[in-house]
Amino acid sequence: MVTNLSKPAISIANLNHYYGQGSLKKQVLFDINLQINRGEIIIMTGPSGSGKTTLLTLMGSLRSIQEGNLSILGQELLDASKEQMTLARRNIGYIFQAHNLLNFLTAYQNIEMALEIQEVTAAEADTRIRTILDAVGLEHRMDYYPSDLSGGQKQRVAIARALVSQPKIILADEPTAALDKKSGRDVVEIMEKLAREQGCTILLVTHDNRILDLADRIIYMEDGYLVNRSDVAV
Amino acid sequence: MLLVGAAYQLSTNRPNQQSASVNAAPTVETVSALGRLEPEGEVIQVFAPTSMEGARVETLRVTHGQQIRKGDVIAVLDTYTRRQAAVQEALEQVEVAQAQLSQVEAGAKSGQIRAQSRVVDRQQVELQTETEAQEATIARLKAELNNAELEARRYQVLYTDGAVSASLRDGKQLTADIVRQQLNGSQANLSRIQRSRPLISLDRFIDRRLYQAAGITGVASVSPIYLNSIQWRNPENKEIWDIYTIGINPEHQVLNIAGVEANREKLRQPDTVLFNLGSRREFGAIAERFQSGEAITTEINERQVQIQGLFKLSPTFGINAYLVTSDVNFLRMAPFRQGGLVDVGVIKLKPDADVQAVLAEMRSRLPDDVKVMTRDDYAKAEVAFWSASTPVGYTFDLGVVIAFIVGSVIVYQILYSDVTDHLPEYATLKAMGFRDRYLLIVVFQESLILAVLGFIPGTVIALGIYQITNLATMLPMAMDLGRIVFVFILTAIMSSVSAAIAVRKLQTADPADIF
Repeated sequence: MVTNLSKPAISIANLNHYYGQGSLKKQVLFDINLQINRGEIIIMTGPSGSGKTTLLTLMGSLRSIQEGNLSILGQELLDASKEQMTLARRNIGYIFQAHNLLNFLTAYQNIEMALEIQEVTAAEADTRIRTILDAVGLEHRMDYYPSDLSGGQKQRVAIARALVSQPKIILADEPTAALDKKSGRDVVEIMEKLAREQGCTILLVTHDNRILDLADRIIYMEDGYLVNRSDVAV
Repeated sequence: MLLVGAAYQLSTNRPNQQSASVNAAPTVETVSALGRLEPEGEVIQVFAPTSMEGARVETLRVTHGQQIRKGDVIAVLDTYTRRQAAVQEALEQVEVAQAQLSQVEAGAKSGQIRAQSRVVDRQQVELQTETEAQEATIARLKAELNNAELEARRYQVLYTDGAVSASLRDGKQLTADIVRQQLNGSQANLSRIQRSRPLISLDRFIDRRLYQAAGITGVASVSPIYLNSIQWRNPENKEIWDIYTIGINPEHQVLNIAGVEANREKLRQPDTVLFNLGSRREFGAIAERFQSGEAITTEINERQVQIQGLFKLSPTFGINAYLVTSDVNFLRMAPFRQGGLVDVGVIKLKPDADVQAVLAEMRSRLPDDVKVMTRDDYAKAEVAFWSASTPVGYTFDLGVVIAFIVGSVIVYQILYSDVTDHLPEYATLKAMGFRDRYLLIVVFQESLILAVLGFIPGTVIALGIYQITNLATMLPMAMDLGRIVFVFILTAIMSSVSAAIAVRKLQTADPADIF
């Protein structure tokens, strides 16, 4: 995929978003403007219901843009076709709040799924899967089904799945929410390490103050507004 | 006369009565009277046979008053020697005919068939000639009638004018009437001749067609079959039911049914029938009783018949029970049926005959009043009739449509709930950048697996139900490969349609809405 390297990874201008229809219509995002450069690691934080996940799904091309501009790697997503949105998703590694692994596939097969839509040979795919499994420390668990893995291990498989296709952007929605302090920290550290190796951009939504130190920049959301707060910056 | 005469005598003699009474009364010595003598026993009148030749008594071999017995020769006619010679000649002819018969029976089948077809051809020509002659007669009579009527009208006018006598006019009128009647007679004759040719009903045809077919090269044999529902009396409770009766020539193998073949010869005897093993109970427990060795006689169309054997033939939607009998017996049991007017004719070809060529030849040679078909085509026509022209076929077609719809709904429900159960997985795949087409293929595969898995027990159950239905109704239930494949294709289509509907929810939604 040809991407314009001079463009920022994510560029958002005057973005508004609404839920519901008619009289029940409720605005959840207000005039969001944000620029994320390549290779940046950004943590987004804020209280529940402030619109963090909505913004993240919009950036992940999982939701259609209603108002304003949002471009990913130079690709404008406003009024994008289904096909364009699908292709945009292939450049993004999305890590969900819940691991969202396919329960009927092993750890190895789950990661393999991410490569099925990429143009890689079977041999290369195998190498990459083994490498990434090794990186997340699960090479000995690769034939385990998700139900036989612990919460931290599952989340690590999910990270491996998101990273194996070497996406330009990683969007992570509270990846440590279901994990204890130790494994939460581990997971994020692995993510950061791999991202720095591959030079990809990371946007991480979290409530977890213990991992804020890993970010290049922290952005804060409240009631649908993006707030620049120097007091939360490290 | 005598008594009247006497009285007259008495009255005319009255003046002398006084003196007569004085004298002695006259004595009657003889009485004359007419009368007839009859023997106490029977009078047997003896005649010479009336003959054109006018036979006369040559010698009388009895004398007056002689006692004779039955069989005694009373007289010898002058034609005696001539007649004896004639008897001798007739006996010789019988011998010749018997010799010919044994010759035919001994073999020479093709010769026989050739002879038969020659007879048929001759009959055909005769019929044609007869028809033509009759038509000519009618034309002539029509012309004559025209003349006679004109003449009669002219004489009527002349009579009114007083130019001719009444008797002359009546004579002309009579001539016209006679010619008219002759014409009517000839027309009746013609229609009688013609009636023996084309169809009387749409279904039956004259067996002459069959013999015509026998003359075509490649034909081995022909055999007529009579079919009719005849009233059967249940021998147990005397109820009357219509039974479908098949009349065959017992000399020919026309029904390939084991029971019929084994007992065919027995049908040569008068009033014998074979009964169907699979007939419904309403006709009586004939099979059981026959098998236990009981002789069963019952009434068919008010004729006593005897069951001579059993055969097995499944009932259909239209027929509950069958009888097989000989063609001769059939016509006895169904006197309303005209002999020689058959329902079906069986034509057997020689093993090396080209079926299509013979078929084409027959179609070109035989008139349009018969349909020639191969056995397979006949079976197909029968199936087509039941499925296209009867409510039965419609009911079954509707059943298939309903089954398809119900099946689609059920498969849709299964797939839909399955897609819903795995919505997060599908959404994850979408979020990873999988296209809708990929998801659709996944659901299609699932539906096809469902179809196959459902099809295997479905087929087994269907076969079981076929068997049960067959046992309960005796209807022939056939599950052939074609039907299995057809149903499987329907099942696959049904599943695919359901899959396409079930996956719509995934296609329209943004993945984020699904989580």
